Amino acid sequence: MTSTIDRLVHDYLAALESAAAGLPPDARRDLVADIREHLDQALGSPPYDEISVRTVIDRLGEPEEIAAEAGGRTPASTQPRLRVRDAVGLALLPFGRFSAGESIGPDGTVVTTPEVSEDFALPQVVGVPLLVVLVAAPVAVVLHLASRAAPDRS
Amino acid sequence: MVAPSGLAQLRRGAIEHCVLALLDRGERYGFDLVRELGDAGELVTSEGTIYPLLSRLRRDGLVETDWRASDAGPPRRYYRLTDAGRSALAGFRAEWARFRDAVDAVLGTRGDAA
Repeated sequence: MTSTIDRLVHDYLAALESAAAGLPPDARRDLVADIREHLDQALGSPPYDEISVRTVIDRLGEPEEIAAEAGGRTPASTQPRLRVRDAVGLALLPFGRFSAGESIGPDGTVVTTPEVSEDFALPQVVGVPLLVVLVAAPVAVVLHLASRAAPDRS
Repeated sequence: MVAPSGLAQLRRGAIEHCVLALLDRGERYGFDLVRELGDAGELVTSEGTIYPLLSRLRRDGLVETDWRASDAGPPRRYYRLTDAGRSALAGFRAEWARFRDAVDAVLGTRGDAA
């Protein structure tokens, strides 16, 4: 029985460690230490019974959710897949050295800012044709529509 | 439907100030704080998410902590409100009352007036 309980606690902490892998090292250390302390206190002294261990773990919640809170972001599954600023970032790529930088704002939210990056740019062999396509495509569409509309009017 | 992250943001802000309010009544161990919030009903769905929030309050200087020996087991972290935390709480209390009244007025959910 004890081994089942040890495994439950061990697995939970291991899952938390890996969910928190993306955090700065001291934030991660703090988080795991806090949760470990919580488990210690919630469980009291042995012998533990499996039901109360499972209850304590359930009340703590999913490791991913806790780690996401520590990163100031909502779990990935609830985030929209493509945001406007992502699209803007993509559109700016051919123009050179722009990339979206994510940082944690003062209120704990993720702030995404386009910033000049020294180490990232599309190679010109890709960027220039892409730029041409981006500029040419709307022009082509407008011309195409205009040419379709013109005969109707005459 | 409202974007989930917007609602999460609102909850987070409210819970942070509930933590400050509990600490205003007296200093506490992290565990006791988390259990009190967890027992307060709808406020917290997973107790583990309170710890990152406590770290944030600590980083922002709204709470301070020290370690205290405990009779059973290793030392525990003790949380206390700072002056900055106290004034943040006062600001939120005023702000919250206005915000709640405005939302209730629009939604038609004002308890006493309905």
